[in-house]
Amino acid sequence: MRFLTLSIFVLFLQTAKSVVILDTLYINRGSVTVVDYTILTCVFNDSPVFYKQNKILELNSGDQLLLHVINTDVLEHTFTIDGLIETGNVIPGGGSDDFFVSPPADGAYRFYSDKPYGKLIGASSIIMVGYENHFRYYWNLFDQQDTLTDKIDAGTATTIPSDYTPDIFNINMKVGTELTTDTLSYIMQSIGDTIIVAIVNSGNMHHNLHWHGYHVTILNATENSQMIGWIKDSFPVVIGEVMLVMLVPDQDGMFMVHNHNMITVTTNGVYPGGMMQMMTIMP
Amino acid sequence: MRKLILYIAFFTCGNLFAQTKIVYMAAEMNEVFFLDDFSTVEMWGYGIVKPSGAYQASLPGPVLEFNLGDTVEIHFHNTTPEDHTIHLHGLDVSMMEDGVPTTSMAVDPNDSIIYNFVAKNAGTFIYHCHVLTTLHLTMGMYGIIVVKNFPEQNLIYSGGPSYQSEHVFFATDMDRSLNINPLSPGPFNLLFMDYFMINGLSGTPLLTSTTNQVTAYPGDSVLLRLACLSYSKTRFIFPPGLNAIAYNSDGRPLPVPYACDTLTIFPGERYDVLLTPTEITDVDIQVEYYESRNDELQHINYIEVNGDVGISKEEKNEFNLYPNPVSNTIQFETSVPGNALSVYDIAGKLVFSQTINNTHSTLDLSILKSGIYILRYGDSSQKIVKN
Repeated sequence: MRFLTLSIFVLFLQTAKSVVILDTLYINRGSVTVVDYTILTCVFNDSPVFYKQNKILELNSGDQLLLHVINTDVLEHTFTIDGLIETGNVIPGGGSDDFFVSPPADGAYRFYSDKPYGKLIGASSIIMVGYENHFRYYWNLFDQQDTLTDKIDAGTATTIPSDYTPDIFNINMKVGTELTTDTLSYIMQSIGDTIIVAIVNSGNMHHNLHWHGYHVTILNATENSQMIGWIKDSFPVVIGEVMLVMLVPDQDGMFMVHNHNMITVTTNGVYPGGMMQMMTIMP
Repeated sequence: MRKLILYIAFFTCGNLFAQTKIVYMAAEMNEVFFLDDFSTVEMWGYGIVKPSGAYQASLPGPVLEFNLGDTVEIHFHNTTPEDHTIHLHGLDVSMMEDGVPTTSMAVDPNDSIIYNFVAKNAGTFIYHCHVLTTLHLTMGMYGIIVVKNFPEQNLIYSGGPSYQSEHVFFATDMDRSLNINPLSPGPFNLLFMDYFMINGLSGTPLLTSTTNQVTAYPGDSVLLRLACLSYSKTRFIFPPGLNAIAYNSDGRPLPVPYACDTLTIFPGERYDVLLTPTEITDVDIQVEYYESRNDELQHINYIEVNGDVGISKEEKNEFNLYPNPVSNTIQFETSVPGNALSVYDIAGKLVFSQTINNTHSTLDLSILKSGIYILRYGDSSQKIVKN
């Protein structure tokens, strides 16, 4: 009945010449291997087959989204977007539901499962709205502690303890050489291009990024809103924060972007690794 | 003809402004670094090579000062047995000058390199080693670069506000266990910072260092160049009377000046903050350090503020106390009883408090361990030493 109502609503909107995008997300639980670790995680995929990387949803400016979310987990999850979808959003284990997303403005929005065994182990990603005429990239920052992840997955831990000691720091659930082929985050553009990077901190501690070679303009920051409009090479992305930054490179070369809390540029305690990505700017 | 003269004048001026500055630097390892309790750890760092060829590394490294438009050459010689580089953090240099081993090059032992760049923006920047960075930063391989807004050196940036004096305050930290035994590092995710510094000093040595004191009183305009390269979030808390406003960050003017009684600075960030005191104050600037993994307060440092020039401490303070240093009891006198008296340890933790009801009180401080404490009463504070 709810889907019928939404469908009629969608038809109405289509008639009103507003574009409504139909899409489907699957909430999957599985495990990933990082170096010697097998880490349990929960993600939003575009099929029922588990893949460690969360799906990114892209809309053009003014688009709306009718999203069918299928929960393949045995436990209930939520589909949450802060400020937009916060109630009536529980999806039972094995169930599904439909959500109509009408973004109030262009920008990046975080969606996540607001359950400990969801968001604390990775079920968090980005809806990007607008900027379709520019080059769009995505950085989903995440940190995990192997032993704690096991407990969260098993339901014996529901919060991040004060002695949290993560051993894995990743971008889009990838580390090291995997990131060189991650087209979502590896910026490969030319001088003068307008590059928009959506960044979300899906992790359990504050992070901060430093750009080599360039300064970027902060277009939006959901937590540190005083920084909107600032031109920076280093800035924080605190827990749960979504940021949008713009880079117009003025020189060519291969440069690094990395977290400047130096424990996070490691994987399983080994440097280099973790939250460290390259970008290539061509003449 | 007039155009020709103007062109010649323009290029002459341009040459005068755009100077070439050459700095000779060297890296050192196995240096001794004194902590605030006079114990020592190993440090690595940078030093300026003097014409005699001598150099001495320091933590942090020397402040390098250039003018806007300068063409800079940093001649770096690595005399240590390990690879090092100089990354010019925030200066947006070319790939080859960036000091990242994988994209430019590492400087091998007994090898040299010349880093070239043009100082394109006025502000505060950082230099640091980018080889095995997680280790080399806690060992101390970092320093500050200041680019002054030449030729209007009294302005923060062209068209920006003016200042009369300036200070650099560089927040860093270290995991002392690593500095004691740097050749057996890792796993690096288990670094836990336990020593917190401003300009290489912590606790009492910082508080009593005359070179790290801020003198600012009504009518002054004092620029603080604040930078953080710690593994922790830092928070600078300014007394309201200092009227602290950030005008510049990461070498770029802020679109709107940012009034900041409290300014949080994450690793790698820099802020240029102007103090234009509106009232006399000698309340210290408080610098808090937070553990990055759980955001819990780890340590507090204090930067001395002298805003009471011409007014003796006795006149300014609302209290008098003796003896100081104290053994067990201290005599406390005030003309304004009725306030709470608080004693904080050097980490900022409240360790003693009592409401003062009389003009003369005897306080029993025997519960305190030996060390330095800050006693606060009303708007005034004083350092006390417990034997």
